[in-house]
Amino acid sequence: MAILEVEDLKKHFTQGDLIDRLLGRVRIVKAVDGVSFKLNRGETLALVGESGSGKTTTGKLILRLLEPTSGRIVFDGIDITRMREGELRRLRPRMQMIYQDPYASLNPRMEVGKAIAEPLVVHGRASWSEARREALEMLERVGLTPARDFYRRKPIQLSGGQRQRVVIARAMILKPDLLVADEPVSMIDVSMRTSILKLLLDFKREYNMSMIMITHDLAVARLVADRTAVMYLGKIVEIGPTEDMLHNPGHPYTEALIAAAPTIVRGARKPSLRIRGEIADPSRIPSGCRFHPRCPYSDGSKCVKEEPQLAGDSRMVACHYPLTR
Amino acid sequence: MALLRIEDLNIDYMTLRGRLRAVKNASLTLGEGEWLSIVGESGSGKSTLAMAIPGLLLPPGRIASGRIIFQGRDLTGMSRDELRRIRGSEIGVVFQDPLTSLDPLRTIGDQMVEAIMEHRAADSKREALEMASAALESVGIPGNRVKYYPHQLSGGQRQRVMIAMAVMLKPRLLIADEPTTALDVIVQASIMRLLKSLQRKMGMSIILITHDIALAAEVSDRIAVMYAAEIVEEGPAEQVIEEPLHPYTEALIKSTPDLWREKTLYSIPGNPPDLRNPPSGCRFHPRCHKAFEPCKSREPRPTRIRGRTVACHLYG
Repeated sequence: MAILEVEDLKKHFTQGDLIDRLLGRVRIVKAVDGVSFKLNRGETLALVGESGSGKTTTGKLILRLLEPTSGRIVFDGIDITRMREGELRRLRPRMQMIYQDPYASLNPRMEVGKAIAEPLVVHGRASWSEARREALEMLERVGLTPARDFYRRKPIQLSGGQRQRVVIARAMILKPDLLVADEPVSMIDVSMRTSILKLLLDFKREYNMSMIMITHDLAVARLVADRTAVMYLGKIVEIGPTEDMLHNPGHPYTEALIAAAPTIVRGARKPSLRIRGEIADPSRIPSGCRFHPRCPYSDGSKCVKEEPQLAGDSRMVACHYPLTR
Repeated sequence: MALLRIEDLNIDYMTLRGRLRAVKNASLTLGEGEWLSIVGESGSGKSTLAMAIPGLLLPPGRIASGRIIFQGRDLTGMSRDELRRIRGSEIGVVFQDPLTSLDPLRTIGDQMVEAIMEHRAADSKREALEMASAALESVGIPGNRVKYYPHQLSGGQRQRVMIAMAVMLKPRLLIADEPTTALDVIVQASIMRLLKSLQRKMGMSIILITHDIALAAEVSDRIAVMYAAEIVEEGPAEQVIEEPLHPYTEALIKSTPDLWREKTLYSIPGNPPDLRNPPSGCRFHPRCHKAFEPCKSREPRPTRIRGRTVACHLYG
């Protein structure tokens, strides 16, 4: 049963000041340009792509932290696309988000224990004394012990990894059904990254929670995600079971991401990196297949004129000439 | 003969809360045409060590003791002017964020010409401009882009421009401090390929500073691993990666997610130490699964073993 269904979701920003508007020079930035997927209960989906792919915007749209331009978002059977803030407030505890920068996500003046307890009180789930007790348990859970000592600390007294544990504890104390994690380990030192991912996976299992992991790193996606969606310029170009996709990519862009991932394995059988250039400006999306200007397999005609649609069953690829065929 | 020899280098930061030793007893040797990567996590001292070589330590950082012998001369005793002449002409430097090193209001060509004229590497501005456009071509950017302003280029192209500026006077050594950390993975791969080909073509030595041991593994001849201000292991890249001797190197490799290895959720327990108050004995001992009695009390000395240098009590 799907916890989340996203249909043809779009977010277009207009760029330009008043003068640009008067002169008709406004540009439309198509940050998310028709994204559809389903997420099952207890499932983890990774949204992978480079900067400018629209992965973070997609995450924010899902939680209605941004207004979608068009499309549909259905959370646990409820259409929340146009739901008002008052009604959304009741759903908010069930959908949480954590961000890349643990330094920016915590109030520097608030004791971290209180920061963890606060959501319970704000959403009317507990009194302060009950919330405090639960927060202490939570500190223990995320490995910040002795909990009583950590409860009283300010964010500045914690390392980056410890702060991200606090952020996770604060999101998890509400036992959400859906967590959107936006690059939660990209600012954490390598030696502690996997411990943060493991913590998220443990909570996911315990709460039968669904998770969307936004990452630029395929190796991170591989560690946590049942399925992975690769995004390019506002669209999903490939989606399917993670391990299968990594072994046998269908879209040339997925292949390029795999080829570019560094490895310590000497003689690893990497595909060769054949694409060039950089991602286009999302206000000037190329015609036809948006990847065609960088694609080594482009035929120069159909790829330039006709936009490929996602096709397939468990694995879907948006390419006129998928590599898997 | 070695191009660069660092001997017992100590670097301090003077802070309000006292002295902090950011690099401790570092010794390294780099041969002509060799690529050495210095790998470590934040606060390991890798950038401080690399920036000290061309005299780019920012105050309150200062070299407390030790020598940096580059082509037979000790750089630590040199004046600012002497170091400035060496930077650019003999040692090129590339930083993480090209935008902080480029002037947004002047064309790329203008900035390149200025650097060339400063080093008196051309007789006229016209000649300097020709050199600049040839340097751009050498990093895969059309020569006529000398007329562009930095904002007209993408992030990857700007980093290529920085590389062109760093190598245009044909230095013997290029120091690149996390040059691809701000870039996407596909662009990163192309920048690394560019550096590799420049190293080969120019016979230049490279010091790459990176937190990513997999990136280092793919391009380096030698790898030095730093932990808490110290070099814990140094040696030929292949050996360090395939048969790490120091438990930190081993753990770092094991904890790095990699598409071509079996999936594991391994991570190093604990946190990196506070350099103001480092652990006694071996600085890694509180996180080390192989720690035994002497590790708590005695500092391990760097030992030569199997073509490598390792600072760990397991090896004497």
